[in-house]
Amino acid sequence: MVNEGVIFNQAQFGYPSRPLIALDHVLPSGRLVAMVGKNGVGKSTVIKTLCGQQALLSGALFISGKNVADLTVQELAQHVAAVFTGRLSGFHLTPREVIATARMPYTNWMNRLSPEDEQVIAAVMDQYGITAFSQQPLQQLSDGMYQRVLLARAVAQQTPVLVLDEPTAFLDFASRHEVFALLKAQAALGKSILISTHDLDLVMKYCDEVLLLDPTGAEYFAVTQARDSEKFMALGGRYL
Amino acid sequence: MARHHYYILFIAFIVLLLAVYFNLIWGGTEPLDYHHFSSNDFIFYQIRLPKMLTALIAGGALAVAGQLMQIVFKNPLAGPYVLGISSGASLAVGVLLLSVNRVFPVSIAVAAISGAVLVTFLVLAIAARIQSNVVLLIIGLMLAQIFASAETSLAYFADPSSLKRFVLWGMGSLGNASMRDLAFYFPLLVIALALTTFLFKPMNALLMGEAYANASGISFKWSRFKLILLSSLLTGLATALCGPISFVGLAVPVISRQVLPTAKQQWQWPMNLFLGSTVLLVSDILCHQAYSVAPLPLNMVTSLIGAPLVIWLMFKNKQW
Repeated sequence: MVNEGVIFNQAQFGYPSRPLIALDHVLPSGRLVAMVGKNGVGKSTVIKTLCGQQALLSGALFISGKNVADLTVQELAQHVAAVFTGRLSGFHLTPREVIATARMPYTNWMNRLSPEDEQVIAAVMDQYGITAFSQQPLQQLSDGMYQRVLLARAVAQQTPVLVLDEPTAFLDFASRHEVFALLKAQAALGKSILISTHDLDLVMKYCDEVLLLDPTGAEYFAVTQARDSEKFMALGGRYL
Repeated sequence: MARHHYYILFIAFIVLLLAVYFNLIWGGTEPLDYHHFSSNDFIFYQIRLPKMLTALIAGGALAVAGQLMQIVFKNPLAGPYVLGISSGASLAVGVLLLSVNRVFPVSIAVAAISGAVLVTFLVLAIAARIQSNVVLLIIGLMLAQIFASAETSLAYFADPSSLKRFVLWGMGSLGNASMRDLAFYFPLLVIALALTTFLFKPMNALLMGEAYANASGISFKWSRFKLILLSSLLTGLATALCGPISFVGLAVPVISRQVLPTAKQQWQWPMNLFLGSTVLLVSDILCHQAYSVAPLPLNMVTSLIGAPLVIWLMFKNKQW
């Protein structure tokens, strides 16, 4: 699949009663982009809109050259995979079952997994060291293991774009680094990755570019130029 | 891993067959002589058989209805009784029983189904405007309260003879339906149950919640609509057959997950079906055997044996 990244064309995000942020930027493929900004500025709304769970107020959003407004839920899921905050619980869900849901955009109404689907699931579980605990109940996993499962799920969806909503909140030091390192490796394979985070030190270490959301307007710059941005310094960059 | 799931399901099926058999023999004040069923022709064909079939289909339908609701709300407290759907059915039957002197079984059925369907559409109209499931659940619980108090006011002003009829109906009974009623309801319930088997994919997606369901290419709102609609249909039909049975829809899905600990809803579905039917068949045996003078009300027994079972399973496994 040709990946043309994510194009925000004068895209206005938010709610009719409360517009949040406007973006007019391009996220190129093969880059790990950090979305930073204060709580409430609209990071989660941007993620939800990219996943089709919320509509744009105006403007347009293109993913791999396709207007998101024209895609069905299923088609969009073939282009964007996501990791959200919070933990799933109940129903005896196992890592293997969670990862298998990544293939739903490609399966028929009976959700029959093809040999290719099975292969993708097995490969991803192997790659991320999940095979050993793939049948354990989800709630028995540590936060780090849990997040690795959800990352593996997003990778198994084989989409050109990957969005993550604060995936490192609640994680210990090593697990935070692990998440960013995994994402960097995925970006190197050609995916466009947008990760919302408050971990500015990890952004500086792993990410290529920064999308900074601010009520007065958004900024987009390379990580190497982060220290030149007043808004980035005010957000906490001055402590780095 | 699938192999021992097959065994558990197989055992549940055998238990169900045993329950069917013993329900036919012991499901009355006198045990039937199973060597000479023919000598008891009338009792067998006019009373025991329709009662057994009612328990079989209504128990399975209520359990599957509960399974769907607990998935939609990601909450083991959900059942056909939340969202006010069965209260709507009850209220409609109450209006009928308390206002009309002569009542036919079919009119009760029509009232129960239309009550359930009306409330379902009300709830779905509300759901279309509401994103949060918890909010929807609270609104449903409040609707149930409104219908319950409307029912109480109806009962307060009713004359004693129709009041007794309504109170008895509210206690649930498997003996209401004749073979002719069943010829109408049984196929409808089988069709509704068959339709739910087309929804295993959205059911499995919804276990992960709204955000991940959508991200997996399964529209949450559309799936929720289909699941709630089918659940209400099953509830309305079952309520029409045997009155409001409070316990099965709530507890059987919980028991089913404890006995067969898998998230795969294509496995939970037959388990709910078998367990739901078994619970009603066994409850009916107990209704008739526990007290020799007259059969006990069904709702008294289902909760009395079922609730401690759920508590014990929860203590043992500490997860839902």
